[in-house]
Formats: sequence, structure tokens, C-alpha cells
Amino acid sequence: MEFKILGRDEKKKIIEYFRNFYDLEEKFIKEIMSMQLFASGKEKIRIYSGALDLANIPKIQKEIVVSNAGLYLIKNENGYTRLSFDGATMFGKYARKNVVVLSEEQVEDLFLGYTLLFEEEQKKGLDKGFIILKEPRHKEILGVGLFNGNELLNYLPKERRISSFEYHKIPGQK
Amino acid sequence: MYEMKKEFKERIEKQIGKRDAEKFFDTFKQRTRKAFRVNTIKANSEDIKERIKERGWKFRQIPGLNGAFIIDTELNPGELGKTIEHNIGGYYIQEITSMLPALALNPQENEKVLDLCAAPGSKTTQIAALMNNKGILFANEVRKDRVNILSTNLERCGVANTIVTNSDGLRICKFFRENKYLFDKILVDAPCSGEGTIMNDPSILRTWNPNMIKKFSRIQKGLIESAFNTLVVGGTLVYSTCTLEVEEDEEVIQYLIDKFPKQIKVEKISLPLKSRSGLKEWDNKKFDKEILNCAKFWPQDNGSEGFFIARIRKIE
Repeated sequence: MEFKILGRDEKKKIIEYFRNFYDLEEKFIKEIMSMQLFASGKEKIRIYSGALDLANIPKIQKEIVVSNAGLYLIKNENGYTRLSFDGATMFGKYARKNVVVLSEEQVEDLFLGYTLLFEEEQKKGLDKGFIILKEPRHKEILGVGLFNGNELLNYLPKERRISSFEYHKIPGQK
Repeated sequence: MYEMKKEFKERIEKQIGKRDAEKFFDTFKQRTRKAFRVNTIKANSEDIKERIKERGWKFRQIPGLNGAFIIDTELNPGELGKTIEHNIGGYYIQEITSMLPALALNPQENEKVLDLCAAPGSKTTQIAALMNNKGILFANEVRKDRVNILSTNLERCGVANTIVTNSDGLRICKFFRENKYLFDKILVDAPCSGEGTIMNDPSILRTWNPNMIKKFSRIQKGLIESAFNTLVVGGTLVYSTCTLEVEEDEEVIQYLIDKFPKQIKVEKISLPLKSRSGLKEWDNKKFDKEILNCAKFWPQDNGSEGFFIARIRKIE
């Protein structure tokens, strides 16, 4: 695994992006600033919340295979910065902008892998880019999708899709 | 249902007596109840409890085992893994007894912890949660194909304090020692013959053979010795298996006592399920009295998979 620890400026740049796009609460900013960020490969940025100085990793890698560290947080692709599914579920709760609550049908479609069409009401206040998605009942975060101004491209990782997901068929729910 | 081998039956009867052995064999006809542990990195027990109620599932909780739920409703295959809560890492499907080694280890957020045989990650994710996603946690797995599932589970549970390594257990311990990097706590959840899991995996009855036990016992002794040498003085090692074979359980702890007689204390552990003490003797070999402090969890006592747990402190 490739490790390139991000310096303070690189880290700030990422945080600024999230601060602006999602209007993140300061709590998140403080939380993420206290952690180490590193690039693994060209596009992926991971976050490490542990106490080991990651500068030691290359020394370990000389003798031991280090397969992974920390949590995959973001990916830079096509000019956008995309929060990972688990990054979104961890930190999305601090977002105050560019968050959309899906309908029950949309949640089903999301888990089945479809592109989602948004109602006019849902589009209000959304910028083009990776939008944080919430389900309607408990407001759980379901990752992000790419909003192009009209529809939402499904970025739910394949391993998180559920082929027979039926949101409606929970006893006691309509 | 696979047929029980004669030698397997005799060994169990020799260990716990014919009557109790029958109760153990009877468990092979059942499956354990589905259970899970709330992942406190991403969720809290009260919320998850509400969601289970919404689904109309009947459940039980065990006093002292916070965040553990046993689902009594008969679910469809895979149903517990198809909920939104599972998908986003709100809980981890895990046998109740499998939650105990991490509790015995009792990791703290400012400690250095090594999970030596970590895949698929049930205990690593639990340890990370107990450490509040802080401190230093190395999760090692020797098999490359199992590192992927370990990493996937860590991601799903939002674990961010962990370094995942893919190395032979002896080799990585040697590496840490040579670099004077010792751990406060080490979990050796050792590879084993797995007979505690027959309820959920009856094929163990088919593959069981005495040579396998000898082979695992040899591997386990190597791992526990190497791990013990990688502990700080005052540090804690938890050794666990999901087998009930004496050569893989009590005998491994006896091996460590024989190797380091003045450096070891096997601590008595109090865990929230019914357990039995380690044996006093086996095959005309008497064990050290400290072996009595080990805990053995039999399926017929708890309706969950069998487990063996020993907590060892390095005192010198």
C-alpha cells in the first residue's frame, strides 16, 4: 500500500472544500484536523485516527506487508471530491448543506443500483456535486450520489447494494 | 447431518462425562440464535433496539454484555445482513461467545494493542470500538485472501485507528521485538479445529481428525509464545479459540507456563456467560493450578458457540 502523508496545507485544502460544499460544523473540522490524512494511490485519501505516527509506516513496510490503514475517506475524480460511503456515514452528520432526504421509493432504488430522479422540492438548495443522502425514517446517512442538476447518479458501492431490498415490508410500517 | 467420529465422541466423553457429552452432541441438531453487537463507533444500542422493535423481531439482551442482542425471531437466511443498519455498520453479526475475548482483553484508548489473527474482523472491530477509535491497533492476518474481508469489515464499521498487516504471526512479532516495539495488550484468537462451531458448521464433524488437533496445537504454541515475548511487562495477553480440544486450549496455556514460569499469571476472568474452569489434568498430565482460571464456554451451557479464553498477565 502506498502512503503519502498529507501536509497541513493539503489537509486544509480538503477541509476547506468540505467546509464550503457541505457547510460542515466546526466539530467536524476539529475532529478531522486532529487526525492524520494520507494518500494511498493517485486518487484516494484515507484518514487515520490512531496514535501511531504514520511516518513510521515505510520502515514497517520494508519487512512487513501493510495492507491497509485507517479509513478510506475521499476520492478525487472528474474534478469532484467524493466522500466515500463510510466517510459519509462517519462525518456526514455534521453537514448542513447539500444533504437530501430521499423518499422510501428512492431508498429502494438506491439499494438496487438505479439512478434517482429528484422532485423539484428535493432539488432546492442543492449544488451540483456529491450530495449526502439520508433515508426518510431515521435520517441514517446512505453515502453520496452525484447530482447533475436533474438526477442523482448512484455511487452506492456494489458491495453495499442489496438485490432484494424492500424498504416497505417492515411490519408496522406503511 | 454428518456422522460423529468414534474418537471425537470418546474424547468429549472423557473430558466432560457421558451425560454432559450427550447434551453437547444434542446441540449439533440446532443452530445458534442469530446475534449481533452494536458498533458504538457508528450507532448506539438504544437506537438499534428501537429499529429491531419496529421490525417486530423478538430479541433478548444479556446483562453485562452491553450492545449485544440475540434475535429470537426466525429470520430468513441473510435477513439480518440485509438491513440498512447493518449496511451502514450500525451492528456486526457475531456469536455471543465470540464477543467475550475482546471484553477479557479490555483495551483502553491510550494503549498499544495487537490483534494477531484478526480476520474476519469481529474482534478487531470490537476492540477498536472499545478504544473509541483511538490509540494504536495493529490487526494482523496471515492469509492474504482473508485480509480483504478484514479490511471490508473495518471500513463498514468506520474503524480508523487500525493498521492492517498481512504477515505470519511469528514473523510480525519478531519484527516488533527487534524494533523494541512492545504492546500493552495482545489478542491471540488462534486458528483452531473449530469444534465449538459445529452447531453452525456441521462439516467440522466430517473434517475432524486427531492429526489436525496436533497440527493446530503446534501452531498455537508458537503464536502464544511469540506474542508473549512481544508484550510489555505488566501487559495482558488474551488467548482464545473456538475449539474445546484440551491440546489446543489448556495444554497451550500449560506450555506457556512451562516456558515462562516466573513471568506469568493466568488471571481469573469474570464474563457474563456461563463458563467452566480449565481442566486439572488430561491424558495423565497434571496441569498447573493456574489453568483453573481459564474459562471454557460449552454450547450446551449458553446456546452459543463453544469458546476457550485465557487471560495472561506478564508479571516480570
